Amino acid sequence: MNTFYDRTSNILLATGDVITGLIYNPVYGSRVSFTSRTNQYETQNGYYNLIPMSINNVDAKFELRFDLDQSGAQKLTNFIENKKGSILFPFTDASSFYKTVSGVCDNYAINHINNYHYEVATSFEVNQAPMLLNWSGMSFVNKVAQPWSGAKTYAKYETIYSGVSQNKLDNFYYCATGHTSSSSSIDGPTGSSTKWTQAFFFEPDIGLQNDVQIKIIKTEFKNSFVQRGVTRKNLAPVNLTLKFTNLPTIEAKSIMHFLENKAGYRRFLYNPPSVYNKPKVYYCPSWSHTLKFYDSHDIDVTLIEDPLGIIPTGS
Amino acid sequence: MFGLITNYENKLFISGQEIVGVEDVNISYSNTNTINRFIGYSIGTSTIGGATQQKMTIARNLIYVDPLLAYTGNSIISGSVNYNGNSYGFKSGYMEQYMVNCAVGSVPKVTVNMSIYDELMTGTINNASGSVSTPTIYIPNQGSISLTCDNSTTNRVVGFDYSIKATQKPIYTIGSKLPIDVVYLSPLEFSATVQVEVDDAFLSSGMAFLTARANKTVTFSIAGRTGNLLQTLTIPKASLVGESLSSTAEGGVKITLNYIGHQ
Repeated sequence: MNTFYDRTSNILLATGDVITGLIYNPVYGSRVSFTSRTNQYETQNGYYNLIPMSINNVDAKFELRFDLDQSGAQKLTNFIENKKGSILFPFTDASSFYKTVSGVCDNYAINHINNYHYEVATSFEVNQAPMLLNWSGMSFVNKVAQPWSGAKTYAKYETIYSGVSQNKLDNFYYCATGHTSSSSSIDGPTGSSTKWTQAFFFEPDIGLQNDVQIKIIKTEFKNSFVQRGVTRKNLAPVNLTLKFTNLPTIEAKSIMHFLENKAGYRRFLYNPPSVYNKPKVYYCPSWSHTLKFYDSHDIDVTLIEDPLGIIPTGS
Repeated sequence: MFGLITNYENKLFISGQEIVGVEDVNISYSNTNTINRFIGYSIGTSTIGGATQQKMTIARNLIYVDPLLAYTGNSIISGSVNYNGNSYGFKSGYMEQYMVNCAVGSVPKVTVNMSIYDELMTGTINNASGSVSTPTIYIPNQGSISLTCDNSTTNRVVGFDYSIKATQKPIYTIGSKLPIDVVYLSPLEFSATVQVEVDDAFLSSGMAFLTARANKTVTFSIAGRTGNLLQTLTIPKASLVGESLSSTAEGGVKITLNYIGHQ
């Protein structure tokens, strides 16, 4: 028995059993989380300056679970180990929610349920999918937005690519209400009776809880009292964590398309639907998506308010 | 129109065989409709909360060699209810529980619970009828049913309940409405409850299970009144996990024995 071997690979398979690609499909409950990496600083009055770290500033982490028999679990883990956590390989989502993406897997876990059933949880990270090139497609969400056209029926949450802006990233519009468009452009994306929006108009679940920290300065005098003072504007930005559960695919894709388009730092308009009745501008540094079941998705969205209240164009 | 399909006008087929002696068959589906509620809105929407649940339950008299007992475990079952020249059924069912109830004065009853993992639908594609012939019917009576368990030789057994439970887990991969596989999570779990009228029996020591397990022999044998064996049911690796003694003003002393086993 030779126990002196390289622990890079822990499974010995017959040559015919070695797989060269990710041939298994993950099960429902798999999750994808997106996080943007930015250079960020906050100015005196609470305004944010955000600079994305390269065109690949958004990292996606696919937490994929595979339910397999022992043979399948061996093949999958052998495949992952052979990629050494650093060799890119493609993952194709069988539901076509996401495009085929290329990433690495540097972590897996096995739940040995019984001799016939193993749950292999993998962490597939995509760090090299540029979102900020001036193109009309997406890096992750598998959705091709068509141009607006007259006399056509549009469902709520459909996405169109308008072509009205030189900045292609600003050309996406989202259908705010289902309708049949008129033959003129009056209810087109830039028409006076438009039924399209570029704001975050999606309806989050009830049960929202938010916490507002009043940003004062506090001086704690030694062996004495605490003095609080106001030294700036924008003391109470309203940050939110929104939950969307059991969404149908059309709505989930629309939200994920919207957030991917914003790339974790681009601002957008969002009016919280209760209590707060002033318009607000947010950016979304992280969001996650759980593929719950057929035509059923959960999405969590973190929103940070930018008190400057400006939606820059050309960025 | 506005007629009624009577019990003799509909037939139940399981994997090509007509099942006779059926007292009750229930085939059903249910979906989880979650109503989403949104902040700032008074309206909601109906959304999908999970996989469709499809079930079939058959309750019947045990009057011939039971064809359903062979499907405990990981065997795929097809089934349909047929009437008016049409059928409603499935191709991929799995038995979850097989139960037998036996009591003095009644014909043994079998109840089977199944989960269905393809789509229940009408049409010839899901017609489970076939050419498998129905076995010869032998009606048991209490004299043709015997069992072996603790205290069964000198005390009157008045009834028992027997159950086999199989656990399956459907695997739904992303993008699919139906499971791509149904994994059988062994072992089978057996349980039995035996009711005994006491002549000389006492309960076992309360903590005997802590020192001795899987050491019992529990066998039920059900035959027709002419002696033709219909079914032998056992509890493999049986353990006596509990007993209860009851004495009431209306009757004698009774002991109920609970066995658990697995295979």
